[in-house]
Amino acid sequence: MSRDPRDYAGEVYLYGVVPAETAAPADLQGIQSQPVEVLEHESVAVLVSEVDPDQILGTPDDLLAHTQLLDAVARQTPVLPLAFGTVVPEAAAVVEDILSPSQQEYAAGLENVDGHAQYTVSVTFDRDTVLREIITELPEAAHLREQIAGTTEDQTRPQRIQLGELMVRGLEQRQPAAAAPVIDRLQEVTSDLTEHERRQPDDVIELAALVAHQQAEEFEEVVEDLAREFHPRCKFRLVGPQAPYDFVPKV
Amino acid sequence: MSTAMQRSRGSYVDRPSPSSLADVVEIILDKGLVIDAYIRVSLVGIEVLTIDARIVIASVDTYLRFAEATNRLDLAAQGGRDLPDLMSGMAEGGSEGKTKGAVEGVKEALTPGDDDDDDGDEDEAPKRRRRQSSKSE
Repeated sequence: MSRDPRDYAGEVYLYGVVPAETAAPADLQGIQSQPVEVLEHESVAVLVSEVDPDQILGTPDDLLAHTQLLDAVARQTPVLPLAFGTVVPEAAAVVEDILSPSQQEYAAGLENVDGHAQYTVSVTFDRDTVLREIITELPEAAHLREQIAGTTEDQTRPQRIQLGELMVRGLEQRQPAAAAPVIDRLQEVTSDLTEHERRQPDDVIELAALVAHQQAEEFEEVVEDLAREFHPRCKFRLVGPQAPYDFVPKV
Repeated sequence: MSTAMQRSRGSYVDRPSPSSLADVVEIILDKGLVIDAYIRVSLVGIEVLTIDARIVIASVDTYLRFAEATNRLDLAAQGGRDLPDLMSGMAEGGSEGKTKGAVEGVKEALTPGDDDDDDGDEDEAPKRRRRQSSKSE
């Protein structure tokens, strides 16, 4: 049931855009333990809750509440998550400035994710396995390692930096070949695939995958097959199903 | 929700609960629709976690960290008779077919008997039910 924007006194927190006539989940609380409500405008709506000005907003609990709500909603209905921490000063602005001007884009975005969930696949090199691999191939690195053995960081800092650089470069060189089969095989069982930025030298790849519900089982099996095939050199981690955080339109 | 079948035992995939804070921070914190005009409240109270997730790859700290990991690895290899066979097998394997060697080694360790020397068959029987039945060596 949609509330009238005029009922809201102050700031409003936004979770995600949903099709009109979506019901807010009654069993889940939002940020600051507030109830979650729906503001509608024609064919689209947004899940919101009132912000309590006397409480801190932006705590880890708020982030968990934000994602738990969106993930739960995504199981029932298409949803376009808003970035965590989106707050508008008054409810009237939700319809006037957000829903009304981009209604078409939201409707198209909702259609795009309808019947899908997001999974995130993170692949990292098994550090020991691959460092061992690099050291056996690089006499220079093996030599530096011998110089470092039994010394303190102060004694051999330049050699350590040099060794680390060689190892990091070795990991970087191995990354494209390790990532390629993962991308290739996941493309076959996903509707869309987005690559996240790598954070560490031993990261192989992190992919957000948009997966149709009826393909979920096949997708999970492919991930499992990949993990088995590249064990123990690579480690696989799979998070999901979640709301499609990576598959929202630009507005 | 019917999708998440828990394949805990025998799975090579780590499947954490989606609601762990570290995962949420890493995976979704900067994602979603951004409505520029509006205040974006930022996450408070877990600075360490977020900074940690954004380490730059090419930095001296990173190099020192990987040098240390390599150093430790070397020590473990010298005194490491307790390392699993597959690890030493790999190190001795030289440059030809290391990856294959490692996979085979693990397959041997995890899969008793029948299908350890035949990749083709392994692929056609992805459930590996045999493992459960014959746990003897």
